[in-house]
Amino acid sequence: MSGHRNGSLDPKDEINNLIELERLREENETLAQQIKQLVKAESRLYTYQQELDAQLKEYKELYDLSGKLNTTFDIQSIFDYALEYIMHGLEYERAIFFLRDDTDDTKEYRVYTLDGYYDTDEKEKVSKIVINVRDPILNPCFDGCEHIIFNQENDNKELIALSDKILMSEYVIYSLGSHLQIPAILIAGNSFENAEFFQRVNESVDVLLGIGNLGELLSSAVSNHISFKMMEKALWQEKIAKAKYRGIFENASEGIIQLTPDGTFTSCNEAAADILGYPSPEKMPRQISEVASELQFGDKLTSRLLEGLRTGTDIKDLEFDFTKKNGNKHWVLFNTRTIYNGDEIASIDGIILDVSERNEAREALQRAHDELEIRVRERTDELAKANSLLMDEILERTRIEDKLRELSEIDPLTMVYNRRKFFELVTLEVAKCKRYERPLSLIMYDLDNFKKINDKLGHQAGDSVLKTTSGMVSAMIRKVDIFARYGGDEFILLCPETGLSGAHTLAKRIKGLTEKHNYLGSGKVTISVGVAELGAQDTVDTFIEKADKALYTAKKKGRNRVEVADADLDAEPAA
Amino acid sequence: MGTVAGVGYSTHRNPAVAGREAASKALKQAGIDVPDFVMVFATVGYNQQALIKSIREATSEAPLSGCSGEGVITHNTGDETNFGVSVMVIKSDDMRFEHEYIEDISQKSDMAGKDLADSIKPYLSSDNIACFIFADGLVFNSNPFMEAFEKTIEKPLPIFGGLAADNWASEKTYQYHNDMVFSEGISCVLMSGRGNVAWGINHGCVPVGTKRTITKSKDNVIYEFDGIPALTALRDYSDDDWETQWNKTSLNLCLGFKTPESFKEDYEDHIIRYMIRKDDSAGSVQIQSEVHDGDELWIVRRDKELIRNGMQQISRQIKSKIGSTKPKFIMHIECVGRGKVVFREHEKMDLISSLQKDMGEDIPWIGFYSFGEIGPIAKSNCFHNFTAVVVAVYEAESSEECLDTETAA
Repeated sequence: MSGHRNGSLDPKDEINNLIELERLREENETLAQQIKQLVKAESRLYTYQQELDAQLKEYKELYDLSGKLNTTFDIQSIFDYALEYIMHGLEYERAIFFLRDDTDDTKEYRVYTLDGYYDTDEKEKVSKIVINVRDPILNPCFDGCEHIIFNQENDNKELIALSDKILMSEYVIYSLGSHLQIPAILIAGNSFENAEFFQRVNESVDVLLGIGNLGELLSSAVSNHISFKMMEKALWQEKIAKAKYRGIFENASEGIIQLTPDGTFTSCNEAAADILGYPSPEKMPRQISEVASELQFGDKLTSRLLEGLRTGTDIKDLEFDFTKKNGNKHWVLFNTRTIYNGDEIASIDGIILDVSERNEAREALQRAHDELEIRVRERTDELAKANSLLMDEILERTRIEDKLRELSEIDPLTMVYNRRKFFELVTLEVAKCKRYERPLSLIMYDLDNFKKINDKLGHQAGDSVLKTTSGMVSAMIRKVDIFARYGGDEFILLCPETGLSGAHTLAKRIKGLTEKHNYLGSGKVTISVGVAELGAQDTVDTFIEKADKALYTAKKKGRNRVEVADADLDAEPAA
Repeated sequence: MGTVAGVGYSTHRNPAVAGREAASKALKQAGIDVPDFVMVFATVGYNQQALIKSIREATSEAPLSGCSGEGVITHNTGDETNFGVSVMVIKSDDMRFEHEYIEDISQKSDMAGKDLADSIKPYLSSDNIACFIFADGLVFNSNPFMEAFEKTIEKPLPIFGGLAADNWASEKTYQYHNDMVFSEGISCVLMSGRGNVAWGINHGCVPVGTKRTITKSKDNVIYEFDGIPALTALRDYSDDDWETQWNKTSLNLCLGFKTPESFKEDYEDHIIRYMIRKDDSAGSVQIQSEVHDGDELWIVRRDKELIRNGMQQISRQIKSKIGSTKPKFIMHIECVGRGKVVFREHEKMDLISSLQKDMGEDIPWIGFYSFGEIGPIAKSNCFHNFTAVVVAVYEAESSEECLDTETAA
């Protein structure tokens, strides 16, 4: 500014000073405004910084989490890492992982792990929560919705009920894995008392982004875990199968081989080498054609085998013999099965069974069978002969037995029953007639003055008379009548189904016939006859006694007469 | 044995686990089983009672003091999350730690000062080293408290400490005394014996705009400066959401008052005051010390570069006192306005780590982010905002050295 002149300010200078002052004031004001803007900008900068740092921290921790998740397929580890991130990265108070266990077709989600519950009772209570797969709460998840948010502004009853169970006044449900299956569920949130100290649950971009990033990462990890488990299971099953196969392969008594279509062995077990006569699989030739040559399969067989391998035609039950190196002949049964990889032949599996023993056994069996047949035939002939002899013997014996029986029952002179047999028969007849109340009569006769005949004409003549008389009676009686020589010249005739009258008539006929017959050399012969009928009270003895008494009466009354035991009948007058 | 100390830290969400973990680590670092004294700073996400209970159990019920902070500070750590706890354990043949507390200080800061001073009077002796106080930052008024306190104890005694904070909710802070957890109170520790303190204090704030003059005020409430309502003047420096985002606004701007001549040499040009509360209807703001009409003030802002330089200055201040002596432990009270609200996370960690490296990396280090800081400037006990107060406690080599402490008049 201009200075003073002579102790006072020049008016021009004063004006300049005022202008300058005004300019400075304006400049000052501009600066002040700029400073105010800078301060405001600085304030905004600090705000953005905080947000940026918070985001960076979250992303760094998410990155670290991603790194950890990539190192494991173990579900417990996955969830543990996730819990750490949820608590310290996303800064929620509590988190629960539910897992669906598909090993037994359960339809529930059960708590697998949780954090943020420091009261033992609370933790235990929450640990037992089960969510049914069909719970309406989960419907949005199965419809493809990634998350469900609940806070104080929500009035959904089911979500409120869940809120009470999990002890969170605000929470987000996130489904993990494919929405078709949803193998796991995450619920993260805060309790009413402590919510102000944690990340609040709402629909803000930050919250959704945070939980969304985690959810994506976890879904992938959970899917990987499931795939890994399936792969582990498959590998384990494959291992078991391989071990089983290896066990079968190595320990089988059957020969197992694998070949390429050109006949190269890719594997061969001990049994196969042994059957073919090689000390070990390693000592076997590489090509089946070489084996065929060494063991003299023959050109035809060799060609058939090679053709089968080349074309992939399975060989079924091909039995053939070959000669081992030791010169012994062996029989094998060979089967193949072709394995395809698409349209190409991958390999051919072959089974070699040593059937030499079987064949030998079969031959031996056949021989034994033939021998047996011969022996059987011979034996059969022998038996037939023996049987024939036996039959003859049996017939002879039967004849003899009949004869003996006859002799034991028949009077040899008259050929009628003897006394012993009569008693046997009369006992039966009496019993039968008494039971069935049938008439039964008895005729007893003896030859009059027989002793005189014997004395006069000799025993031979006497025998002749006895024979003739009994012969005549035998001829006139029925088959059912029982005629026996009672003793000496006494004869007895039992007449079933014959009453006293009928017996009397028969008795008279017998007497008449005897009387009329001309006995050569003996003259006239008469008989005395007694007739009796079986009474209701009679026994055999009394029955015979009655007839005997009637005979006696006939004898007393002069012989040559018939007397009946009961007096009703017309007895002949006394002679 | 001398004096051994150890600091442990935990961010476990379970208060029982966190307390036990931090205490165990502290005991392990100190190499002791049973401490003589325990200091605890923790953030407010925890169930405070459960936290203190577990610390007490882990430290064999040793005497305990401390408070809640917006964050906790320890070695290579400046944790401003809702779940952080740092525990320091001390065992000493040379030093004693007596502790007291008072409750219900709201609107009664002068009475609080007198009552607290009365409670520690029995422990006053010639070998008192320093007094640490941790007061509820939502209700504390420094001037009446300090006046009453100093008047009652009747002896010069350097006072260090900080105002308990919460997580910006401004709802509740906590103070700890043995098993007790309370609010609207003060927890106090009197350190005595063969020991000494060296400290550094710096704020790193710079004025924006010209000097203002308070034209209407009452106690610690400023209604107008330069004839216009305080809030109106501040509006120009704030975004449109300033009314609803007062926390953000009041962080970015604070008020600077001319440093008294008596300690201007040992300090920066301005003492900083944080505007803890506003009244929209009255257009007023409230700070944590008393003002009068005619007081000059500046609207100030934090400057990152100045803050970094200030930390180096703190290191120099301490080292100039202790030389090569290694401190037994260091307490670090940092304003909430110097943490994540101004620095990127890595910048903040660099700030803390640089200071710790400067001082010595293996020194037990404990602190918290507070709503206000207390530390002497020259011979006067002062209240600060947007400031770092770093106190190094070391063993005196002689009894003379014990007495050779810059104490408040």
